[in-house]
Amino acid sequence: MMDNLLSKKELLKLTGISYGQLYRWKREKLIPEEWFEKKSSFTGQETYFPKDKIFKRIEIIQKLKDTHSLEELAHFLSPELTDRLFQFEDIKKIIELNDCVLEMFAAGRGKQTFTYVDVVFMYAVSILKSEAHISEKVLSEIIKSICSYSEMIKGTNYYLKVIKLEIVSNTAYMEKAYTMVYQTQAQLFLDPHFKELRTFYLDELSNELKLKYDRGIF
Amino acid sequence: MFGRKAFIMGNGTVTENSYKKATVIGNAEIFGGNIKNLTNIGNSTISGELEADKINSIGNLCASENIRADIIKSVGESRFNKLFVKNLIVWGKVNKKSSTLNGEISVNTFEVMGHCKVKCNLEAENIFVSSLLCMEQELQCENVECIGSIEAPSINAGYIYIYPRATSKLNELYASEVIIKRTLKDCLKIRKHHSTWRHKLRRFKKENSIINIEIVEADKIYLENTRAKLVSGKNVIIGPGCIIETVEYIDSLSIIG
Repeated sequence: MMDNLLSKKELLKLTGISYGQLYRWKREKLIPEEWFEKKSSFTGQETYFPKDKIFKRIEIIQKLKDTHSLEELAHFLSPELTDRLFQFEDIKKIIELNDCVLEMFAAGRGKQTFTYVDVVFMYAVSILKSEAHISEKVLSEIIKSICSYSEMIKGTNYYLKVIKLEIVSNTAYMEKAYTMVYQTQAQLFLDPHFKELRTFYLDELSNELKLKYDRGIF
Repeated sequence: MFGRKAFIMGNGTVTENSYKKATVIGNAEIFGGNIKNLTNIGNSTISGELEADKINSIGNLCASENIRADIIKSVGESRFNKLFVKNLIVWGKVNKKSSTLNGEISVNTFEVMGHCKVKCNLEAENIFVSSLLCMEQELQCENVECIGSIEAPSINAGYIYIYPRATSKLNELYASEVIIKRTLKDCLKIRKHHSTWRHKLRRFKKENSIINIEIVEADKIYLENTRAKLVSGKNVIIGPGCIIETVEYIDSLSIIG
């Protein structure tokens, strides 16, 4: 676990950046606060960073900081932390997003602009649609559920769990879907009536998108 | 168009329009628009988008839409939705209570000349504190200069100057440069540019107390009358009156008795 963590002291030494630069980039949301992990060490409290992520991020910042404003870089590198909005037409170009899902999200939102977190949710739901057999009705319920809280989520360090409830009686069959978003990797125990459809880690999906589209949309 | 004036004494509404001056003494609902000079003494609710040059408020100001202003002077409780202001000055006390700020505030220069509690997201360039500033979240800005006290979980800024007082409650300071010093003479970078400071400096109370901070991390550090667990920096000077558990430095360390 400690192999992919780098201490702040080592980071400053290896990259040659100053305290001022590191904290300014944190302030400007170029480096997510979550990457600053405080752990107890021999000398007291030390801050550690995810090694691969932080090196790559600092490399990009140093390369682009003379040609872009810090605000532009934040929109590009951490769109999940800013209130950058994406247009419907631009989002359509992302092939990972199912058109039907995109339409339903637009309808559920009531507008044609989306935050980055919305895009990641749409990716998750698109994956769910292609992998599981869900009816249109259940799909729209899932999307409506996500739309109710997605604006409050400012980051991708969350898990999205989609669960299904099936009620079978002599006279009727009812199928409903629910979603929940939570932060830690806690193990959730569900009532046996619920069946887990899928759990997504938004950060993983976000990184896939960023990797693929880093020169384009993001 | 700009000659229009509105005056409300008691209860009333200010319809959406362009005004040269609008004065409320009492309770009013302001429907937004363009007001050059808005004075509120009492309770005003701003229910539409407002653009103003100057807003003077004593009492409660509550806005549900965006406000853009050059100068806002306020004492009392202010609840904003989204506020963009160049100069925000909080002063005085209403009924012996602190002023409070709520909402999303984007300000260039924030002067705290009275007790002020900030319960919201604050984006600022410069922050001057001559009285007391209480933050619920980390204070983030380019320059902070405090000759009064600040209570905040942490400060992340470019330049931090703090006059050491035991009444400041700070856990962590992160910056390019941190100066905690008992003299004002050569460390207030920004003061020359603000006339309000000269007024405050005349009433400045000297103190010989120690400020407690857990962690100070910056490239350039000068500390006096500071008790800290950890001080990490590139060029560190520990001045008189300091009790520091651990000092880490990269380029230089001086200890001045």
